[in-house]
Amino acid sequence: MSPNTASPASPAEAASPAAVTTAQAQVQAEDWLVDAALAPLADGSLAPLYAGAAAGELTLPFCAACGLALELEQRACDGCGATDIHWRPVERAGSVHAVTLVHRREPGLVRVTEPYPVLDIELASGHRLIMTTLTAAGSAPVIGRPVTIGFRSVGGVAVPAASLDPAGADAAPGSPTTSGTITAPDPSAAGLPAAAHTSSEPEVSP
Amino acid sequence: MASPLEPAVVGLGLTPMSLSAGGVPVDLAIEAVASALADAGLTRGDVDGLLVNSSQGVRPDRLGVALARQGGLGDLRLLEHVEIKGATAAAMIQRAVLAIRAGLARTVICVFADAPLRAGGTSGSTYAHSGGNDGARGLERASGVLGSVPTYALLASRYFAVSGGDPEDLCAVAVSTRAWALGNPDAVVRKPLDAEGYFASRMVSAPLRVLDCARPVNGAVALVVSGEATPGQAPRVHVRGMGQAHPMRRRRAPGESWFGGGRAAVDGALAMAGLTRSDLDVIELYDPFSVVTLLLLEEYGLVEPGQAGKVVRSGATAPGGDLPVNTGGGQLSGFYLQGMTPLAEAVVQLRGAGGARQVPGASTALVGGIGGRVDHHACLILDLEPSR
Ligand SMILES: [Zn+2]
Repeated sequence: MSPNTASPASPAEAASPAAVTTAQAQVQAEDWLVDAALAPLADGSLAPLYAGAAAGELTLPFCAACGLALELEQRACDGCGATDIHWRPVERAGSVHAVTLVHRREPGLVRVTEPYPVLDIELASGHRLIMTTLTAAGSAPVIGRPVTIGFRSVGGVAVPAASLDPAGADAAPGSPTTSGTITAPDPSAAGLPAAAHTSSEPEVSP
Repeated sequence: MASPLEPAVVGLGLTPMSLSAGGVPVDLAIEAVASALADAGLTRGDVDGLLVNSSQGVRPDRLGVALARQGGLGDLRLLEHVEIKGATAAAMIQRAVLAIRAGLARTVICVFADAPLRAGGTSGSTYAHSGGNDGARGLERASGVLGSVPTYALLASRYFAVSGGDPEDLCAVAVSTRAWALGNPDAVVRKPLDAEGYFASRMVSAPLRVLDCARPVNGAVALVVSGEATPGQAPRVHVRGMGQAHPMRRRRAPGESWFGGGRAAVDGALAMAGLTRSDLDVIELYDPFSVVTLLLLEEYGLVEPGQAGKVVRSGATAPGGDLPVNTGGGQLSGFYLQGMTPLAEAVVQLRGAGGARQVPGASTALVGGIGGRVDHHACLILDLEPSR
């Protein structure tokens, strides 16, 4: 499937050069990091997140009753027990909570020839979300560094990615328009939130 | 009718630990069970309980309760597949002890087997290709999180930020653990390691190098827990304390997402045993990655907060030190059979059967098992003295 990964919905986006890129180009471009075989299931359990991402929004789950930020796979609120979950756009800004530079590059799945960053981002909404960077980055940002959130396109599915550009000093600006990515550097909403704790991690192993 | 004696570990069986492809879990399990029964001086007919621990994930050869039938056992009164990820091994022992105390069974086998090494692929590759594309895991995989190492590397970076550790601390764990492995004939890596060798090893996902990662093997371990008098020669190893903790850390600010909350498992086990941390002679921890040893030493209150690296660098956890940790080489240098690795080593030490790596006079051990992303903790206090 190939959702329209390129229609930045945020008004703040209008002036961004990235927003000019056509949807067609976005879908066809290959991601800088991984093979299209790793495209997430866009209409699976995280469908609201991917639908939002396709429209340039970072959409995350909250308890509809008490507003608590929930984890991606949470089905009942740990604060009040409610099971009504409301997914809504949040501010596309956060900071680095944990970071690694991955040196092992799985043949056939990882496209790059150099180590790549994986970040655990604490969003302004409170959610924590794991992502890589919007474009190739040869070094890993330090914990605490501010980031904004854009979107990569993996096999036609938009997934959140961290942009280091606007926030700081040591950024290595990339040109998102040529690599199947969309910058979405601006905040739109705030909330509380949750990133995903995967409860299904199998073996702990090398 | 309850068993006459305090339930204890009376049999231990290990298959050879193989670094090459071959074997299927059910056959490895049967081999380990036979070995454990022989060690206990028992036969299959003495067994009335079987608890099975399989590797997680969907695999066609996954071990299950069919092992009872396939393994030639007779009628059973207790048969369960236990599943709390890496914490399962310790939890199975807890389950066996409770069942025996309740009179639900007399002699229970606990077994784990795994054969992740396949022809034509590395273990790293095996893990990198598993996980699927749905849910949070699918999103992570699309973001380049393949296998478990990047996840634990994130944990390590966060742990460093919170506790002040650094790569020298990871090195100290790898070196200390390897030093123990040198004395363990069952360890699969028995080449001396120093800091230079550690830092020369390949980076997998910073700060974790290949020598920070467990060594998967094809193999199995089985234990026999019984409340009966048994003819085995080895001393009975009693389960004097046990506890679990399943902290529901959330992936949101402001708490820590990657660790914390496990201490209650150890506190509970010690309270049940009527012992304190100073009574522990050997510490056997689930160590899939070097950073986990550091983290658990602090989380379980075995060292002061933020001091794990310093303690390990001092040599305290190495052979001859006063806080012996992972005395068989752990999962890093010994063998990675999930929760069975620390459990088996604790039994060996308390039996005084550790040979070159024996800790003199060891009579009380802590076994710590973790599962998921340090989400599940199951602990045992094993002791040569019964608790009643
Ligand atoms: Zn709620």
